[in-house]
Amino acid sequence: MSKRSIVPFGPQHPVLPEPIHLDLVLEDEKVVEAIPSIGFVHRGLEKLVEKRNFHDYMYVIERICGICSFMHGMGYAEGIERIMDVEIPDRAKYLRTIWCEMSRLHSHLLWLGLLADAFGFESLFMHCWRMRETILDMFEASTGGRVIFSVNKIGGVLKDMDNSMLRTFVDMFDKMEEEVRQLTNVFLKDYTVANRLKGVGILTKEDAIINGAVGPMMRAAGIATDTRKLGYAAYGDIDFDIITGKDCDSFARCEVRINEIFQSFNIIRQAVAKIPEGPIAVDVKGNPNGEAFVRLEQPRGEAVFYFRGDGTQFLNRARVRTPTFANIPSLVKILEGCDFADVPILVLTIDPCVSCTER
Amino acid sequence: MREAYKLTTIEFADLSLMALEMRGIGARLSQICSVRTKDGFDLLYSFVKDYDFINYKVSIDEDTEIESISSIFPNAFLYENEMSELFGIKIKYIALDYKNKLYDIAVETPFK
Amino acid sequence: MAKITKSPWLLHYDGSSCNGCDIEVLACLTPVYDVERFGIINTGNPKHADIFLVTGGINEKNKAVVKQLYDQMPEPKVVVAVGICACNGGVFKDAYNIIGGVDKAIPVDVYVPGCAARPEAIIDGVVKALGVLDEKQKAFKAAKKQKGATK
Repeated sequence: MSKRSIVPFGPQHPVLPEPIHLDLVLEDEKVVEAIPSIGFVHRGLEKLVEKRNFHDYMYVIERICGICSFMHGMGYAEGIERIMDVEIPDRAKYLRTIWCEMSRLHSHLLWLGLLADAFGFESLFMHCWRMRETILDMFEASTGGRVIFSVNKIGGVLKDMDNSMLRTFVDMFDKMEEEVRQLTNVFLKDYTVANRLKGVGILTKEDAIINGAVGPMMRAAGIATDTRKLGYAAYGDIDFDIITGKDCDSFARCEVRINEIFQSFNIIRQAVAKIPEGPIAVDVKGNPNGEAFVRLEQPRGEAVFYFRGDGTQFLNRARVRTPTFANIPSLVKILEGCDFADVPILVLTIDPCVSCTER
Repeated sequence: MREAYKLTTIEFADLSLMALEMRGIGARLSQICSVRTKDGFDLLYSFVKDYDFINYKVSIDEDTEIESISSIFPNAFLYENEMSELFGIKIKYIALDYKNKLYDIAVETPFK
Repeated sequence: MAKITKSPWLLHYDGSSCNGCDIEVLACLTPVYDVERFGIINTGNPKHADIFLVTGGINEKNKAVVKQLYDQMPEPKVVVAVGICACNGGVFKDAYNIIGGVDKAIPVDVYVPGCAARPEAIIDGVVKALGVLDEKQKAFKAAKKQKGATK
């Protein structure tokens, strides 16, 4: 038997924008086992619900993660609306859908950039992030914030996008789509990218289910599951197909996310075409009393929210199970047996969001 | 449209049986969480099979020791470690037990 | 500031931020904001870095990490706290696992407020840090000279 050694990976590592620590047990150059250790970003936000009233907690829950902040806020709003039995106006539902898809666009472009950076393709990284800036500009024009928006409220949204703004956005997306296609063709056709990603980090269908993978990890293993099909917000009125991959490897996960970018363009176009006129919020009176589960599809996969209130203005319990938390067991699984040099890429292919994971 | 989901209450002794049943139908473990109640905890186990969202609620009191389901669903170890560290729920046979050092919190846990 | 006296390298560490400031720090380095035009490069190695950008507050587990990274950086060095959480804990101040701002672990030279800190603000902060770095360098050289003279 060859000699075993343990190599620490993280918390500070050039490829990681965020701290996660892995103890890698190596046998020569092969990883035999990976033991994750988290807690560097743990703040205790679920507990903070006891100190903030349920309207104010919105601003805390949005700051669980700066990348999918809109969707965390939306999940919270949907949960409380469900407990209090509030039906929000249709226009608010469509606005939420549009902002959700814009978040997905910016998150996927961000991830493509980080992936390119991880295998040393610097110019590709810069191009992805340049395109992402256009979306951030749209966010700034419509909400006022670049990464944290605070436009959700219980009972609707706080800001409206008028129709001329929506049309401008669609024109911008039309122009962008061509550019993004050129960019993503590099990922799909360039042999340096294929050499690093193809056949690496295979997560089979069975492993994906047993390890509870979510989102693109699941879909890249050929399982057609997308929480958006449940029809929350305005997704019920929108026609889209679930994107799946079939090779179960890192390349398939990259492909799935790239195709989701174009799907998001499509969903935004449909939503803008269908958005009804009307109010954007309803008044909410009283305090939440009861419990509710909400599931959402975030850029990284399915998120589960659970809230329980007891009729006071402070909730009893707020629970957010974020997609990266669910994907860590799959990460451990795909790391087993991989080359040591592939570890950074494999950590990135789950699209880790550590501040989500640890809350 | 709001998602309809099932919420069934079971006894803590039936946990492993329930997990085996879920594994048998090919569901995946979506999450486990715990909620503090007046005289103990509510544990919520959520599973997803295709688009069905299946939930089980187990009410236990503070001293009850439950069995881990990490031998049936390997990804349960993270949730169970989290519960035992933050809520002080006694869980035996966790596959990878961090011994209440998952988050490594400075203040005293479990929270009362 | 009339001119930049050296091209400083950055080290970025995410304390316990929400990611918002981290992606804004990265946004500074990419087109549109592009601080690389000033010769500023993001490095992953503390031993190459002049400026330490920390985002997010300090908790018990990352306190030692931040301290160690700081100690590994060669003198003279400047610390920039990016975002309100790094300044004093911000919205997470009341959370049980947050000790406070970065200054609870290491000395901070420049504070950049904002939630999330805007790239313009971060660039401003870095430019300010360059001024501090210049002064520290002068002091460092003078001290070295003096040490050489007394030998």
